[in-house]
Amino acid sequence: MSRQASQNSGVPGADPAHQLLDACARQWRQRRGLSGGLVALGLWLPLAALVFAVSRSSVVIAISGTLVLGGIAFAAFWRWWRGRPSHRLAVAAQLDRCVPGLEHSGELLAASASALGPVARMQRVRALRVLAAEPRAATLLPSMPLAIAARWLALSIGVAAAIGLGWPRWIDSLSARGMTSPSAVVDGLLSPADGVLATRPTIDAVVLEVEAPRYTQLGTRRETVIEAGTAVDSAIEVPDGSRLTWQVSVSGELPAPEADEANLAPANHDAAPSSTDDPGSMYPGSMYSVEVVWTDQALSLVQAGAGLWQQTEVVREERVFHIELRDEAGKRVATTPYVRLAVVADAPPRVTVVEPPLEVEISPADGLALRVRGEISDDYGVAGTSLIATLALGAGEMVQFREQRFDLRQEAVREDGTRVVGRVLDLQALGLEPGGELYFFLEAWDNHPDAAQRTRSATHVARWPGGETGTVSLDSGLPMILPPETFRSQRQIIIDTERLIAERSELDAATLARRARQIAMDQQALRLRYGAILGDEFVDGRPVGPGSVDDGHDHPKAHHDDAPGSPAEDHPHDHGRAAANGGLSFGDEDTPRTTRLIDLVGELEGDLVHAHDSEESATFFATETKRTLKSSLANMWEAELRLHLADPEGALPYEYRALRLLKEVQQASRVYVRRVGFGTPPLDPGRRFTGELDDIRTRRPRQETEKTSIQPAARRALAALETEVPEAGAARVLADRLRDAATELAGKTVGEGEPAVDLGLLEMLRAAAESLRAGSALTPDQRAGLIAGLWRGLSAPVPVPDRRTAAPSPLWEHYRAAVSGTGGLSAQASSEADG
Amino acid sequence: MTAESATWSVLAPLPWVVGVVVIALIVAGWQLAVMRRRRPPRVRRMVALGVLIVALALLAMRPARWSAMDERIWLVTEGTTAEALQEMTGEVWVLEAAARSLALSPSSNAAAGASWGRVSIIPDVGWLARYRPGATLSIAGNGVDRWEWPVLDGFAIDDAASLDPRSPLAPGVDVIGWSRMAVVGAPWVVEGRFLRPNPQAEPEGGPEGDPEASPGANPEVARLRGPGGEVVEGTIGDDGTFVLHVVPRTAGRWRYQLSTTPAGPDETIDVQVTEPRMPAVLWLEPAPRFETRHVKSWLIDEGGALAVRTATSRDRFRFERYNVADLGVTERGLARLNGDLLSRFDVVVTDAAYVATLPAASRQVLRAAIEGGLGLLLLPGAADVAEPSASAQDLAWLRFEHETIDLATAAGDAADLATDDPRMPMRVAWPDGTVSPALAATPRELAQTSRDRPVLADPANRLLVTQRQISDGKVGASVVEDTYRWVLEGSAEHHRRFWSLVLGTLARPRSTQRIMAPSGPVRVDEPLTWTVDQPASATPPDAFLLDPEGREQVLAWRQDLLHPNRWRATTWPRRAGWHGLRVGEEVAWLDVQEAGAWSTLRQAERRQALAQHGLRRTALNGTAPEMERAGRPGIPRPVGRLPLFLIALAAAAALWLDERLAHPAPPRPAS
Repeated sequence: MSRQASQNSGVPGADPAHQLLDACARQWRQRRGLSGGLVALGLWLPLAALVFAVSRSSVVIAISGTLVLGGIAFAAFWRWWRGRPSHRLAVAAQLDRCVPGLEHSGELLAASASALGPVARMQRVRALRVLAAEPRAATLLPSMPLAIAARWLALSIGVAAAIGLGWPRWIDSLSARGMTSPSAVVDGLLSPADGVLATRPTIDAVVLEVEAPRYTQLGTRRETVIEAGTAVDSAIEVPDGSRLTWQVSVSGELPAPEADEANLAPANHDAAPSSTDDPGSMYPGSMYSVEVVWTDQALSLVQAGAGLWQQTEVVREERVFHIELRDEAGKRVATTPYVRLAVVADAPPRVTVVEPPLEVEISPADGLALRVRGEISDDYGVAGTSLIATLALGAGEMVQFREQRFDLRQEAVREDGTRVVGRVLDLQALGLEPGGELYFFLEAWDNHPDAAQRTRSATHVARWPGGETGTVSLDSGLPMILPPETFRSQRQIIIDTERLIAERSELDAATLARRARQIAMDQQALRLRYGAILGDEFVDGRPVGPGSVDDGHDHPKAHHDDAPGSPAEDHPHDHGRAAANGGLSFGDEDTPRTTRLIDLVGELEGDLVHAHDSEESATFFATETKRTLKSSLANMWEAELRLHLADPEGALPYEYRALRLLKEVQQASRVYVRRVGFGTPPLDPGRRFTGELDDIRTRRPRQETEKTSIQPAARRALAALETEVPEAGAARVLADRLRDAATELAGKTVGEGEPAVDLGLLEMLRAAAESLRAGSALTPDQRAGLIAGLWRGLSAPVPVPDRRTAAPSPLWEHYRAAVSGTGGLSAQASSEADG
Repeated sequence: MTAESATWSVLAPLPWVVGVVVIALIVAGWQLAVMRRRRPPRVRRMVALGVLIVALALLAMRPARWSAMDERIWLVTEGTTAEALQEMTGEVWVLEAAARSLALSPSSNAAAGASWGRVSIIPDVGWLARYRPGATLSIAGNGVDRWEWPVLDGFAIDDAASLDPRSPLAPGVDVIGWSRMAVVGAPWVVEGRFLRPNPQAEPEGGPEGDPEASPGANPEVARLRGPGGEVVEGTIGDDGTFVLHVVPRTAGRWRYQLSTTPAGPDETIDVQVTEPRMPAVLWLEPAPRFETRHVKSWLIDEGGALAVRTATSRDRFRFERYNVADLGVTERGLARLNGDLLSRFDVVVTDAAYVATLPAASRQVLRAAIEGGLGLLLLPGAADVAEPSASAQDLAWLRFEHETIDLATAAGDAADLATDDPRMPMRVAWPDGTVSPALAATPRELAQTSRDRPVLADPANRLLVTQRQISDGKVGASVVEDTYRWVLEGSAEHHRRFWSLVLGTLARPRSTQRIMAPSGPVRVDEPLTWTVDQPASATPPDAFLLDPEGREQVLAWRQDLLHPNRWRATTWPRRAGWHGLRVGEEVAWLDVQEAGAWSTLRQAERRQALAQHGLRRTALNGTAPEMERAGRPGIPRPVGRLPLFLIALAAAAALWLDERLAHPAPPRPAS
């Protein structure tokens, strides 16, 4: 302890050798510290300058960064400084290596002379002399030369000055090349989406200029589709026929083309290129191409400036698109999310007739003016409106139609643009007469310049009742005008019945029965009249056959009582009487005879038979009209029955019901169907009678067909996804299939009521494909999400027959094998037979 | 338990015994021979040697003590209640799963206060068979899996004591059935039974014990969720049954999630969906008809093979051939019906009246082809197809009985009829419960006979299409007329469904090699038995098992005892996931699920197996367990190995000491 303390005490004057060693050590430490400090300063200066330059907008950050760097430099220096030699023995050992004259006796210098032997003391004295004779002993000790440290510091100062002075231009060029400074990243001032960090160019923004068709009066609008690499709106609606101008701006490193200075394009994006042949070839980034991609189509954009591409097109169909940036090798460099472009078709006008209702009955007492009002609206404007009225006059074959067109007067315009139009029709001026009808509807057409869309309202009917007219039968000879038949109308029968009921209290029973019977006879005549129209056959006014209502009554004698040999004997029917009765009846008086007659009918040739048994073929009424008329006849028969029984009160409801049904038949008898013309293709006279048969092909059934798979790409992708264990090289195959599926889904035609294309699924598919191409595998969640999305997008399969697998039954097969050797029906059957 | 009249025997197999005895004799002979020459034999060495040999021999032979005593053991399985546990006496063996559910451990015996003589928690019943073979077993709880019962064959099982009491099963699906193979576009059916929550069970929380889940509060439905999230629902009937119809959309291996409301866990159902293989259709018609045109359009649009032969006059035909190039069918070949032509097609469509007009030889060829697997569909013709000709005996197989429908009784249908329309509206009830639009048809139905099987019926269960098996082939008859009207009326999907179902049912089966996987869910650590039929050969199939990692494993096939063409192999899947069996080009897949899947179904199957075991024993033996036990020699109880080992060790030590004492070691020389 005492020896060690004395060795390190450094007491002046104690021992010359020790003093000399201490002096060497002191100088060594000074040189070492100085050179170390210079090196640390040389390291710190350029870094501090860099921090200051980068964070020039923030002094706090600059000072903090500088101090941190200074602290780091000082800490390094201190750690290095603490390793200085502090022991005389260490200094002596270093001197032994640097000063050969010491003869490796430096250790003796550090030791106390009193502790040495005589020989050692002599050697110590010798070493002391040698050391004292070496004035630059301290400089011989190992240390960085100060000159080198000074040069290092000078170089650092130069670098720091260069950083400080040349920073602005340097940082600008760095930004222009898509690089960024570390401090910008640290401060979060720049985001990767800004495209500054990436050296690869990225699609920064996509702007769509929508110029709607002029007739829509919607003008031009600008839609930012993509901003900062993300979709602003996943769906954009544009009117059909809009003129779209795509503007895509690309940021990032866009190398300038190798051309002379004169051909360099101006930096201003709005400036037009000077060359017309390849306008984009002189802008930076001209080796890139930008395309709007949907399904299997693509629209190439033209470079219109540095980092700007654009193109114009007229859009007619809906699409799901994305934009791709490709390099000169055609490799995709950047892409955008999927966006749906919905095309809104021009809707036809909407026309509604507010007044009058669908059917209106004109009464002269209310005036012969018909007010027509309607509401018309359209999405882009109504070009014109009109009222088309068709006048129907006459009856039967003599019905005449006359069509007229009227303009409508605009009465008001509502806030939503709906126009209220109207007109008062003077029916008398139109020529409407009692019994006539007026059919009318409103028509409107929009302002589409190429093909105006027309819309018509429902057809309304205005009827003027009355105008009973007589009919003329042409089947009895020459046409002649006949007076109206002397039967009473159903309404007259009702009037008579009501009068009888009113006078009943004053009449005796016989008179009541007689008058009731008279009304019944009138009712019978009317019923027979309508029955003849319907094709029924009657015997004394009672219809026979299916649906007859008089089954419960006695039948008269049969008509077939002609003398033998008369012509009527061969003919099964008495047409003369039948005509008088309005029909012919076989009656049911004699069943065997009737059967025989029917058999005879079956045996006779067709030209000798006049079939009356099918009432369906006797009229041309529609089924519904026929049914209504039958019901009316049935009610007439009920009324007639009760009148014969002197019960007018009971007959009256049936009479009313018969009248109502008759009116229904009358209303249904006139049907207005607007005439539709058929435009035959024009004949080509030059080809007539040439005998050329080249275009006439022989019909040959198809021999081979191929099933067209529905959504094949999506199904292939699903099949690849469900294989959980990927094989070698399957990742690339799967990536291709996912991309094909995305393309297929993007081009899927969305039907009415079907959900729109799932843009999220498209993004998932593309991200998964790119992930696979990058070498990373799909996670189970990713795989499940893709399967679910693709599965949802599949349409329902078409059922087809399938050859099923038979139920396994080895026992049955054994049995068959056993019996096959004994023969059977299979063996007995010949292998071939005539078909 | 009392030990009476014990007998001894050895449990080791005979070769072991013989081997050990031979070795012992050799060692003894060597000792006697060598030692006699060197020094006089010592008695104590001989004794020690003998003891050592005997001890080693006994160690190898495992002597057992056959005891005639009545040893009763309780086997506690899942479903055992805590109350039942308290009442058990004697030796109790608890399966690990049951111990977990009962929170039971060997240290908890005293706390439980049970009067057990001994409790052992074992992983499976194999331990019981190993250590307590032949004991009288009382099984508490739901029992063990069906495949574990053969292990218990050596036990006398007290069925009466085994059945009760048991805790109620958790709500869920306790019966399930589905086909593991489905076809794209064809209905795939999943049917099962839902076990409702026990109203007396205390709610335990979670999906199985939801206090708000009470029957009747919400409609009870079963849902099947597909890979795309689409859901098919079916109402659960009063008896708990449900049927779900799904139409798979694309080929592949898919998992569906089955869930039940208001309770029950989600379960997984796997299915392998394949593309349909359309049959080759031969259409024979006596005159052109609209029906042919629309079926033809649909079939050839889907790529199906179709040949149409239309008679235009006597012995003159019009031919149409679509996609039959692979079949080698020519117009000349179509003109003559022979066995070669019919063997190229899978189903023939015609009507019975036309078949009746064919020559007898042609009919025989047709019949022979049907016996070979061909399908024949008889359409409703203009003539009465039911009565082709009473005198033609060879037409009996074509005759299907018809019954006229009384329109007066068909109240629902008569409402749609016009009063003078002799036909009736006919609707087809599809298997999934939906009904087709009405078609005008002659009011008649096919009679249900013992030899015919229904294919389609109307909502009133009147048969519209039936089939008849004739050897390997099928003959079907239909009374549905003018199905093309579905197409014209905008319901083409019903037209496709009808013809898909009918043609698919009647067509010649496609498979020549059949792979059969077990039905129902398959879990890990359970046996999975594959069955392969090889009609062509009696050699083991060249088949490999594909594990979830896609590795191929070779299986050991065993031949069926009765059917030489049938082979089986059993594996024990250790990992969940898709397992497949590749036989040639064909691969059948199934999804092995985790051990806890389908818990309710598993417990129900255990109960069923337990009940069936009891019934089987009663049916086979007709004896009570006590009577069965009387004929047995006793229960073998092996002697423990530790005493024998100690004896052998002591003998060896004695020999070593004798050697040391007789020949002391020479003193070391001084260094």
